[in-house]
Amino acid sequence: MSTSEFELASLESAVRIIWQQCGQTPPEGDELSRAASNLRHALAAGRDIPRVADKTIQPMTGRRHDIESQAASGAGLE
Amino acid sequence: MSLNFLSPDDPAALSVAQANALLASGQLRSTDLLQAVLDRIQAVDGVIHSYLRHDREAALAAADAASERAQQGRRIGPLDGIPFAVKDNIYTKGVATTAGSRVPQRHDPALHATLVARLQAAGAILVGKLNTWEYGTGTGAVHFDLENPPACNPWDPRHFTGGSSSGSGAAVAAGTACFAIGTDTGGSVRLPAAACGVVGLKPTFGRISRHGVMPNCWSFDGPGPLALTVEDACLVYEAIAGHDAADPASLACGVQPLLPTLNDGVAGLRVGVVRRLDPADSVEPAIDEALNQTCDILRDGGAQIRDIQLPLAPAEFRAIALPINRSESFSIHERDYLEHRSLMGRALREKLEIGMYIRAADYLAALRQRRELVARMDALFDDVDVLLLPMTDRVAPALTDEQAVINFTARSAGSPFSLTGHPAVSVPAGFDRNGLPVAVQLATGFLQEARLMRAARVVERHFTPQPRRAQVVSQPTSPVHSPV
Repeated sequence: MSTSEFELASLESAVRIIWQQCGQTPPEGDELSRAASNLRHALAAGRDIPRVADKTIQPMTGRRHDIESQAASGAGLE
Repeated sequence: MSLNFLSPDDPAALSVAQANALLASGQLRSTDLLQAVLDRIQAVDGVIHSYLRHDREAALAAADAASERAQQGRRIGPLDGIPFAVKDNIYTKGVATTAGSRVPQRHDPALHATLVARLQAAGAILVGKLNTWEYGTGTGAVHFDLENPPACNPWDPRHFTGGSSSGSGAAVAAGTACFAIGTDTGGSVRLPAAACGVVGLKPTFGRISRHGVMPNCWSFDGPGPLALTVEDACLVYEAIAGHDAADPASLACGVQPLLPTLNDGVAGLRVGVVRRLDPADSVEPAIDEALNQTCDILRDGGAQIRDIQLPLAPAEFRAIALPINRSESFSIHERDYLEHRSLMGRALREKLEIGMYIRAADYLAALRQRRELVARMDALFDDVDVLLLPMTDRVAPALTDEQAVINFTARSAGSPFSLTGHPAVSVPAGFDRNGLPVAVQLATGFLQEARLMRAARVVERHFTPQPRRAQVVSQPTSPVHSPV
């Protein structure tokens, strides 16, 4: 996917705003261009994640109770 | 093909199990074993760069103590007096930890990883800290902009080690450590094991404590042993696995010992073979051949073999892993990124920059999708006991072939089991015609490490009945990438 000059300028503006609103000094020059490109990559990455339709499914975070429950039930353990 | 093996007369060539037998019978002293390892470091580490630093004096003192225990008939166990080293993202009191980065470290220098403490309590001797890509990040292709030279493959130092536990793979293959501990976030124990021709075990998520291990991605990180043999990997696993209240992700359930059933074979085991992660992928002939031979070996051992597909294509695994890995890494390194990014290598900077911009909704979508994926992978293990698949689609490429280095990591089969948390092991499967190691990967259901290593032992017995370390023959080198 090629990035047009307009798109790149818009992404650079977005990067500046994000950094400023986070209370940081935005990058400049080559670093700003790289950051703009990485912003585009990061947003595009989100499009590749299949969405879970079932609203009851929670994110998998923290301690793996799913593994421990298998151990507790002795499921398949030799 | 000519392979340069380290002479079996050199104590550094011994496996952990062999060294243990000699130490127990009094035919070898741990001081002599350590000296052999230190001599190996002196002789070859200028070529393979497996270490970032080591503490000779502390190791010698520990070896003296181990020798004394042996003399008095008070050896603690099979690891007593055995020299080991850890990846430089594992905190060790008394030996600096940098994770291969120029970024100033913020941790308490007294922090000592639980796994290191457990190994030392078992009598093992910490020699030093092993090379790694910066904070375990990247594909290996752009890490030449770091302060330390990259580790090189002991079987041919012009070639890649895989990573990110690059020094761990090199050290075990060359005998600069009897065994090593690496960390695996997307294949970082198994890939260097595959590239360097040693065994690399990523246990079930939460099985080995991460307390005192520098995080890379909380959802996927896990330490694991790299060892010369399957038995050695089991010995190390048994010493370090188990609950640790200091690690919030540590599993509370008991640890099944691996050694009692290690030689029980594979009769009756149902093995699913994944010949290609993606049907469009090509695999080097040596790896294809190793996979076919492994099927024959397992079948001859009484296993039932059938072809199978993973629940998702590799691109889909990667799509789910990326926002989780990038976001969590950015959260871990945010302050360093803001204050010290000019000190970071390009691979880490780029990863963090992407992590900075991942939307919360995308991160959470990936974590929800992960739960579904774990259930689907688990269902697969209702139908088969063990999965067999290529670890990589090629042998270790030349360090000068940047695209091949990237592909070695990016197209490997490491990520699926990191994403789901299932245990997996990379097992050596001979050498290609250029003398570079070939490997296959085995994976199994949660907490089934005993079954996994039993199958790995059968594979090892065929391909490497007498596992040997590499002599390390310096080759004329071409310049690697210029600093980025």
